[in-house]
Amino acid sequence: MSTVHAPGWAFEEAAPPKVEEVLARQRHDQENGHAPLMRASVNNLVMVTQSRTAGQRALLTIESLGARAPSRCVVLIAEPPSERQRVRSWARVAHHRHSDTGATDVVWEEVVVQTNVDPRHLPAVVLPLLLPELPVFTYWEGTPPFADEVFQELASVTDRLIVDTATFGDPLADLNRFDAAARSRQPAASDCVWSRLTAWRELLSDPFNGPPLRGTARRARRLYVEAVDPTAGLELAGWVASRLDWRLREARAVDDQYLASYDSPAGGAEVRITSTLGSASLTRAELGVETDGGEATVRIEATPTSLVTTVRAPGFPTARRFGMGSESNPLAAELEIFGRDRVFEAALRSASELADATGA
Amino acid sequence: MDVDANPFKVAERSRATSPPNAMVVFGGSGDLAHRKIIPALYSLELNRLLPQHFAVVGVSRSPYSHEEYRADMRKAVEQFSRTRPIQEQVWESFASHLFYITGSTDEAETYDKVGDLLERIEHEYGTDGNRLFYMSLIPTLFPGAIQGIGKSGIGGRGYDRGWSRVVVEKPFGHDLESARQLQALVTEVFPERDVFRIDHYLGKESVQNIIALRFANGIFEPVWNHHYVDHVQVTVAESIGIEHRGNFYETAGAIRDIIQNHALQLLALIAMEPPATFEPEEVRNEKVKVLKALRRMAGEVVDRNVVRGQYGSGWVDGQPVPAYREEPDVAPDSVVETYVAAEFLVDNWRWAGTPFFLRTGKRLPKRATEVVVQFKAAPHLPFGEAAKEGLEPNALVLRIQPNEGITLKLGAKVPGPSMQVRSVNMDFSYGTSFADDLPDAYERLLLDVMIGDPTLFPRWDSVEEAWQIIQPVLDRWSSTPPPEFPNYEAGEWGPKAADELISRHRHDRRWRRP
Repeated sequence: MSTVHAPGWAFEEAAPPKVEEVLARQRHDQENGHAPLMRASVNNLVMVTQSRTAGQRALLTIESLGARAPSRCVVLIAEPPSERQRVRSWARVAHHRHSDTGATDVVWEEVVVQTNVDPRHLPAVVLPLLLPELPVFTYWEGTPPFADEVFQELASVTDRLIVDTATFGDPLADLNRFDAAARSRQPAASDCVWSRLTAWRELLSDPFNGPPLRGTARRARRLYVEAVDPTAGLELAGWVASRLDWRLREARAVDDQYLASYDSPAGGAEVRITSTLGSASLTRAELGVETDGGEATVRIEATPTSLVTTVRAPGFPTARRFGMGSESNPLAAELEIFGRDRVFEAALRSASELADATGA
Repeated sequence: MDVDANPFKVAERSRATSPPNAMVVFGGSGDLAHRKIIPALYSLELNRLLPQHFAVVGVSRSPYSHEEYRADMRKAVEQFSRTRPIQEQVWESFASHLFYITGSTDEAETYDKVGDLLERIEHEYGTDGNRLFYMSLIPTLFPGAIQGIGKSGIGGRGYDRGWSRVVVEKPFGHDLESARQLQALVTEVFPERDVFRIDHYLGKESVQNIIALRFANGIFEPVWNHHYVDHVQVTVAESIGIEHRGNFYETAGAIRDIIQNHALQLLALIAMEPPATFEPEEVRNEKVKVLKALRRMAGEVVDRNVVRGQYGSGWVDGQPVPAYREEPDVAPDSVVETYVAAEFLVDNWRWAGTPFFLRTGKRLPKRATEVVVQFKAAPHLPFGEAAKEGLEPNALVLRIQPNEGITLKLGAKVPGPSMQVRSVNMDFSYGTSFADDLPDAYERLLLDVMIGDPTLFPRWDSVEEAWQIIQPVLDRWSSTPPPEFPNYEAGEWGPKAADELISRHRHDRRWRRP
């Protein structure tokens, strides 16, 4: 039995039927005479990648989940099928020491499976490696092959599908395909980009909880977004449109902008999404709202360390506030959600309509 | 349709956030504000859980300007926040909503200044007229501050420009009579629905997990009664002494400090009936029913059912420590108890005849808060005497702190050719599955006050019941000579009389060693 080493941890190669044995032994023997590690099982995460390099990236992602790592992570390296089909697997127990006390371990198990079997057999490879009777999250790196058998088969054993539309090869077209998949009954679907927008959504929403903007949200007339990830701009616009009952009238792409006009309860609204460069998903979002005294604006801008909200309303002093952005690892946030997220699905639908209408 | 409703919030899965409000902290330059209140507010801001329309006003006698107060609170956050290092821009943003008024709670002028500042804040920060008054004061100053708020009209019953709520720290009263007087005074100004009595124990994640364990798991309910449970133990043990709080502790003692509030609240959570819903009043109703059902003690029954102790010098955590009577601000002949163990009975159908043993103490061997549900032994063991040596009845241990989790003691076969059975502990640690940067209890509780959710705050009838349970003990103790103090050494698990208390009806009952 060969051993693969990752920094700080040891993977042991073991045939799939022996994986549980390896994990049980590692749990018992773990680390220099420390007490055996206790396992408290919460959920499974399957990370689907297409190459060994991507599989290594997936392992780093799991490590970065730290305290929120799922109980059992299966990294599936699904290589193109070939005549000489084979399955190799490695396993290890990992744990994270709580930074404050140093006493409590979060324990999880990693199983790497590299295979080139026919896609229709992938569930048969993965299923025996999952912890029984616990939810299965599947994170698909890059664009899932929505129409292919491998996607259909793995989706059938998944409770929640997570993608990162920022990594989609053809963001707008793939967003449409993702929306179509999300609208199917199972599994529930989500997007890491949506998690990255959590802080933007909360900060954009908050000024409408009190004066002077309370009760004015439905009088919004324009939304300008500067987007680094095209799908982030579309999903934010989709969220605003779906929350405010905007109906898409027309949209077009002009240079590096998407321009759209909507029918809205206030008589019409405009959306402009400009592509830009930056380190966050968005660099700026500005919502213009009609008030009795004139236009009020809520603007959020990304700085290197935080998000700045600026609220301008006629007759009121300008209010500025700094807030932290969403957490750095959106996958961690997605793993806390069970079931469907109707707000996301509505936003995705609206974003997909907009992407479609621009002729993408 | 509510035209004021925020359509962005509808159906959103995101966390509960507070409505606009201004929070006034009386005792704003005090220890609690430094250690807990302001760091908790900063953490809430950092996690985007405070509204944009929010401000804090500290009120104390220390002469600070707004800027000096902000600088002082920044140091407090740097020292005590669970989220360090401080995030510069977020702090600046938070600090711009932080104000200070120099004033005494017994001067009317103070409340006028607070009222003027709140008006300005409401205009500039849009706090909607909602006001939260936090009484971070020593008990003798409560009444003056409450009355000051009422008389000045800046909050309380006569105030109608928004909601106004008051947060009161424990202890709520010194005894039954003083608690009733305080309640009369508080409710003269604030209706009961606006009074939030904070017991930080109830904000702990692990205490809330008692509710989850009991009511999210169907397997426990059938055995959660006198048919299967032999007895219940609640332990609140501290290894520290009185930590420069001699003046306070001399007037309180362990029974007022822990048993009257934390320990009885834990007992209520363990013994309560399942609420129909998790609505605040439903949960509070069930808790108070338990306290009402606790059998009252009086006279000699107190002597039999309650043990008090006081620590002498000894060793704790590898260090020699002085006796209680040698601590600063403690009388050399003090008869104040630093340890209490008591047996309670819950006179209802579920728990008839099942004793609940509560104990708390200072300078015990380690810090541990836990609840032990000790089950009865299996009715018949088909093993030989030798085979079952080391086998004890099942026990479910709910560890509140530290190392939050659950231990279930089970019987298991010892591997080998013969049928030997032993007890083994199956440990579940919340940290192995949910470890995260847990919010401080104050963060959760402050947010609940702003949202207006009183579930985790003891209601007056619950506080009054707890005092009614404790008062006869206090009366008995004040009329009879105390045991010879000190009666346990620092570093021991309390006086021997406590061991006798738990084993007097059944010789095999003993305190679990945490």
